[in-house]
Amino acid sequence: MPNTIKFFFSFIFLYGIFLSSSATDLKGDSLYATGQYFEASIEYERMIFNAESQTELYKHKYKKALCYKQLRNFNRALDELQPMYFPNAYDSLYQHVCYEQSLCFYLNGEPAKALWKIDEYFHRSTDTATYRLFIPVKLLCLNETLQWNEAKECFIGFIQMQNFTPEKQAEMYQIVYSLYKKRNLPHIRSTKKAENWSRFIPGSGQIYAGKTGEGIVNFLINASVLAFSAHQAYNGFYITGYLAGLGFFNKTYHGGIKRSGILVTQRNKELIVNFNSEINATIRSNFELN
Amino acid sequence: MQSLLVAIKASSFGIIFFSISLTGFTQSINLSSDLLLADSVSKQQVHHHEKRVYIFKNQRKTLKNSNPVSLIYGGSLYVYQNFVSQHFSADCLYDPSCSEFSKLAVKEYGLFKGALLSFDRLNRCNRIAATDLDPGMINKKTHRFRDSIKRYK
Repeated sequence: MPNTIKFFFSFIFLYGIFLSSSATDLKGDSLYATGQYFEASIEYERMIFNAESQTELYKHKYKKALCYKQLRNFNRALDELQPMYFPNAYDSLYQHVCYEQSLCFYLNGEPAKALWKIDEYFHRSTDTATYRLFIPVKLLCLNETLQWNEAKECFIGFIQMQNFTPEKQAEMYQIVYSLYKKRNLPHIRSTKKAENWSRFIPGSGQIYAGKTGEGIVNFLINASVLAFSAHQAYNGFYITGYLAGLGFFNKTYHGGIKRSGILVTQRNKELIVNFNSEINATIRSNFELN
Repeated sequence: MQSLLVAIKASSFGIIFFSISLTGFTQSINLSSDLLLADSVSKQQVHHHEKRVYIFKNQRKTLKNSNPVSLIYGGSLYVYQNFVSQHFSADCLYDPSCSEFSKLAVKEYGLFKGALLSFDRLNRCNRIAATDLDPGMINKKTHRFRDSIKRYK
């Protein structure tokens, strides 16, 4: 009986201390849980300011970065995550931070940096059980950087990490081989080629990029400006022909070259996004993710 | 009595474990929702050329927006923004661009003051004027100088 009373006293004492220390954490977390990410980020900022140890500081910074991720401000999320340094690669927070960094880099349109971060984690941490978490992001980044063979191998490795039945595994292999067949891969066009086409025949770069109408309009604009210039020079109005005609032609000619490059880049991006969307849906529907 | 004490002990242990679980990373990694986020964000990154609308679209017809000068101005601005500007190599220094600025200025201040502001803006959109601009005004997203029409009230 005295032992029981002792136990209750120590429980009340410890629980009181625990509650007072974690109350501040809970406020930020509850704001985050209710979807008030901006308010939660402010609360975490206050906690960062009051943090007494580096572990606490990093934990709050990580949570603040998550708020920014939800607010789709990936640059600011990266600003929070980047300065953290973990001497111990087996720190559980290190894995979380690396994962979020790689994801934010990918979402921020910097897949090469995301790959670099993932490679850094794989290099530093030998705990292969945690690699599984990084593979989907790595896969999307490899596709984005057009490393098809590496992406295919990565996908196969991801399948092998799952506890699939042999039938399911065979089915998944089939899906991967089909996705990465040469004819099913996005048909990526060369920006340089488009620009060179436009340099040679104005408007042809746009046609190469798949915008026939725009290419024809560009050709007509260039041709008419050039014809105007020639007509003025033929009639003896050399200054008008040179300044108005060729000056304007300079703008439309170089504008056409630049535009064809932009169109190809946009088209390539669209193709890769569609391909990645397919991969993303395959992973979400077939894999146990949590 | 003894059984009651055991029950209380067990429940207090339960409370302790529950509380400890709250202190961990409550925002643990959810790969599925992250993949959904990645999908929606990358779809947004794909640039779709949006047609810029006619300045007086969805406005009730009045003398102010249906006189010949307004119609010619609005029509030529629409053609320029949607079909011509993309063929030029010139890049505007400012955000919003000169044509968009002109459109907004005419909408906000009327044709006369809007036209004067547009002329002023066009005169300031060149390399010489760029040397005199405040670098603190650069919009980090568009890498252009912020020059909103609200500054000219």
